[in-house]
Amino acid sequence: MNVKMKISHPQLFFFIVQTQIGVGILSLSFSVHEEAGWDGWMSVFLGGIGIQLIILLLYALSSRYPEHILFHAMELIAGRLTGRLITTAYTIYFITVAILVLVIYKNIILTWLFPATPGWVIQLLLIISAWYLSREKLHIIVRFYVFVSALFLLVVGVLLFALGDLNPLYIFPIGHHGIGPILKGVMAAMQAMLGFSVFMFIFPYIEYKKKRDVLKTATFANLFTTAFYGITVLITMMFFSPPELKLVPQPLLYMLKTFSTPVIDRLDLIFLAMWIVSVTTSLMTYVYLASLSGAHLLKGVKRKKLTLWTSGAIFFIAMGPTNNLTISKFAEGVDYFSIVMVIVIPLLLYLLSLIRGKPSSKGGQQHETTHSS
Amino acid sequence: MGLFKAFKHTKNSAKKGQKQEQLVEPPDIPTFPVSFDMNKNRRYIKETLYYTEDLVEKSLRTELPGTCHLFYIETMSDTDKLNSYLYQKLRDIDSEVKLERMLQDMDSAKMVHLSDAVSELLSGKSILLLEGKGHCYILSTNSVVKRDIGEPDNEQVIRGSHSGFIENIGVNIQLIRNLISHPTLQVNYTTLGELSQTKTAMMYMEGRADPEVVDEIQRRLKKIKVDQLLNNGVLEEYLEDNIYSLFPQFISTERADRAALNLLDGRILILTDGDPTVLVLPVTFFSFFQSTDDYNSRWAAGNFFRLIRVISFLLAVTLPGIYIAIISFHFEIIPFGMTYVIKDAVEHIPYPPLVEAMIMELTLELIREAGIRLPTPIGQTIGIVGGLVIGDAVVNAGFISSIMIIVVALTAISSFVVPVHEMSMAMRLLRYPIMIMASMLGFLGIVFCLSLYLIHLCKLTSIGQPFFYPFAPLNAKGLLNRFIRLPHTVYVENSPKKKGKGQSQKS
Repeated sequence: MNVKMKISHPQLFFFIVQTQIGVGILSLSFSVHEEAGWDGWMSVFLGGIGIQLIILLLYALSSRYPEHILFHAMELIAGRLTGRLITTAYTIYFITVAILVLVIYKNIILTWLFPATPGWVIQLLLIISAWYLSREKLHIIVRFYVFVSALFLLVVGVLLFALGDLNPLYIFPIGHHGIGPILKGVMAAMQAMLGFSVFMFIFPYIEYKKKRDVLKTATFANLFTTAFYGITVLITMMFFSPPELKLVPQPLLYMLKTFSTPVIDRLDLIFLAMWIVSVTTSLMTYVYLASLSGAHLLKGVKRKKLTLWTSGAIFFIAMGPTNNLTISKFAEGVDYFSIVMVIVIPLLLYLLSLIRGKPSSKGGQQHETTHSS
Repeated sequence: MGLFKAFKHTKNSAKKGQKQEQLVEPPDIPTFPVSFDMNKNRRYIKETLYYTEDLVEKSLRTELPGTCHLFYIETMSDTDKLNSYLYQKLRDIDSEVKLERMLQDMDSAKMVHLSDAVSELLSGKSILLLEGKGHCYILSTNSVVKRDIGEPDNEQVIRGSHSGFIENIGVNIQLIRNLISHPTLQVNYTTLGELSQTKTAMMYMEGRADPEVVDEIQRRLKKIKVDQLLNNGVLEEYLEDNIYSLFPQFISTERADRAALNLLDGRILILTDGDPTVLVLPVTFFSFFQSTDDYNSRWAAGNFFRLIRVISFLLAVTLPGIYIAIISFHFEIIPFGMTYVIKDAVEHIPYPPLVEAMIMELTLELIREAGIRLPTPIGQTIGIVGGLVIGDAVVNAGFISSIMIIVVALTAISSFVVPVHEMSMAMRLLRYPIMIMASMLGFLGIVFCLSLYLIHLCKLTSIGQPFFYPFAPLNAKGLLNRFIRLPHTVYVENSPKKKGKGQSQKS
């Protein structure tokens, strides 16, 4: 593997963060509020802590096989057939998440910007740009991610706008709802935080001096996302009163809608249009990962070609769910699917690899990692 | 059908081969050693040049036995030089040693192959044949036609050197060497173009330029197979990483100081004989927004102008699109105070905003295209007709809103701000997809287009180096060095060697 193709730690940081932050942030406060009321912000922070534990597990698993991409490591751990089955499951998982991202953002755009435009047009836009980048090599993808991370400043700007109109009393009394609903809120927050696991799939493409640095970067990324989400939720919860919050499914946008400047009105429209870039980055990651795992399954198929097929599949399947009920059911399904894919399976694999003992690092298998990046 | 196709194919390829052979033949002179028989030599020279009428043959007599024959191409040689150097001196030659010494003193070369001598003849030298000798002499008597060194019209600066390149490669190299007199400055010559036999030079500074890039350029230069190479534009397309990109991947400049500065920055120059523009490579996106003026004016001002140029890029590319998006989709974002003003202007326009914008943009391109090649007095007329008559009349007639005129004027002005012409051409083209997408999907379409452009920029390389460099891959030190113009006394450690290392980490 060419050294130049590897990605550095700052790039890894933004890769994780950009995958996590996307469509979720727009409705995060609403969804945690549904579960945990005005204590929802605690759910976000708790979710961050929970994720940190999962990151430790994922790191422990993937760092046992630092030279192999995880899909190959699975075959080493669980045997060829089981490994391939798990890889297939991951491919389906990535595609499912990508579909979910696409469907949700399409719906938001349809409700906020273009009620009369057919949904597939917007899907097509998103999927084309996702395909256009994800067919490239990882080090080019992360270049784009790092650059567009400037968009986070937009959110920061929005939050700063809101600072003047906050009412801290809205989040008191703290802990009123009790531990049960807050934990349920954690589940809701996790949905927006998905994507912290990406580092384990691209482990061999990361340039590091010590393996531990990867863990550090993943931790920093988690810290950043948790803080980012936590502060956003806190501010929106102090901006809207609890009964109001029940009525606004995208609190961040509604908040933005109330501001007006002498030059531009309706900042929410501009924000929404610009935010598609951040959404596509999440989409890109999943298209990339789906094609990466797919290329591992189908030997001899170029990953570049596979991105076209995965993007096409995502596009067509995403046309299916249109009504809100289906989408929320679908989202719920993806939540459970995620728990299986990022917690249960890695845990099982890790335990299995512990039982099997130290991996024998055979040089002959090395080429597996190089043929697709 | 298949048979027919095959037949056509073979016919085609045969034709192609023939044509190629024909093209290749003339410069491919078979070797011909200088014969002891003078008449054979004379016939050979005349026949290789197909009895061209500006070939002059003179037989000269000296005290030595046997005649000398001098051949030169009248139109390429300096007859004064011949007169003062050769004829006068030949008179008092009485021994062969003296002749030899005299020729040595003059700028001459001994040649055994007449075929080699003939190709020298074509570049303006003359051949001296001595009877009964197995060799001939080449005398450099070429006359060089060259223009004076002046300031290039399209790259003027207010303060700083006013010397620009001319059509002669030797003079151009001299201009650069005058600015950088350091032993590490290197020149490599190649001859390109099967027919035109154009001399090209690659200049770089050893130790500053990335050796990988130098090798890569040399490799690409070797691969070039063209018949005629009369300007750098041809070379550019052969060297580019991605010829389908709208963005120029090399800068071409006519300014000697700009070329020298780029050399010092570790870039590589490619000069072509007969073309006053010099290619600078590899470059990054932001080099197109730098002018030598930035380094000559005060640093705060330099930074401000750079910022203005980058903003002008964004304006030129997006402004018509934003107008279209607002008028056709997002009327809500116009604040209350301005609503009526804009409504008044737009309400009675018969066309949809896209058509309106297209008409005006295309008119503008027409005016610009018409104005470029016209002599200045007529050019002014075009300006008046285009600007005043069309601009004013079109609003009065009610075809186009006055706001559209403002938008078009602003985009036009912004597209002229960028100091490098190629980039402003790219800007003109990049605008149209955005306009079309904006008319279909409003802001969403604009952002979609811009993100595609951005992805493309991230992918693009110039001789293997990332094109969007200080931003993607992001490099804070590179940003300070390349994007921001720091005071000259402040130095940020980012030497080329270290940069290369940093890049491998970052990219």
